[in-house]
Amino acid sequence: MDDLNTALAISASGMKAQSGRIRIVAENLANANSTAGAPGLDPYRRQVPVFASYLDRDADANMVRMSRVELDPSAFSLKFDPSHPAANVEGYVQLPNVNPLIEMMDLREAQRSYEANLGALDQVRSMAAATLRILE
Amino acid sequence: MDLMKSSLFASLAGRLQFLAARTNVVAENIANADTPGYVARDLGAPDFSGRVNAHALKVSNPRHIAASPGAAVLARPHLAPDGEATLNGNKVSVETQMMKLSETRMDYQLASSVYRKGIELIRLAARGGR
Repeated sequence: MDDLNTALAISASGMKAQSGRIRIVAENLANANSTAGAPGLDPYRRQVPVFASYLDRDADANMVRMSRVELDPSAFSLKFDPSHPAANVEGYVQLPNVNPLIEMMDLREAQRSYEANLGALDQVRSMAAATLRILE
Repeated sequence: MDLMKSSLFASLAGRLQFLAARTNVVAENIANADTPGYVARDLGAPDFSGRVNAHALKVSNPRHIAASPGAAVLARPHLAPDGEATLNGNKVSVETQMMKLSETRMDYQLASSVYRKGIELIRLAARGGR
């Protein structure tokens, strides 16, 4: 049963990491149009979650966590809009480097991984139930 | 006769222990399915053949070491990459891991029902066949 409890904790760490990733994707999507307030400033920069595996010495298992959140260094796109408060002297506004299509794919991938962890948790739960049925 | 130390129950307990440890390893793989550079691992089945014909050491004095026959020693997990690596060096295929997980669960349920049947046999004997 000890191994099964550890397996539950591992699946929970996977679900926590994936839900953190979904939070980052939601932040990116919400800020897809967040331009800078004034010319010369940068608009919202896309965030990229980085996962890392770590050894939980207490449980002696490789858990997963979101180790850090990095900023996407790719270039901002430009839009011609001279009336915008953040437009430069040529009349161009810098837009965030968020591509909603990529974010949706990332969201879907995180959802699938979350479901895989949930499935693993469910299987472990049914194994624990089988062990307890020995007592019947 | 110590029923719980008989070879049937001891073997089944070893099997259940191995299957639970394997579930642990597979759960680790699924949790790390998006971790860059992580390579899937698997746990090989312990060798149960020692149980079949090994006999326990004879103990004639309480200070003798009583070695149980062929106690199953769990191996350390070994690397078992699933196919090709993705761009970030991750070698886990969630499909393969889910397959391994349900395989392990079915084996676990089989072993635990055999264990339960064994207990039912003892109960039947204790009740005198009624």
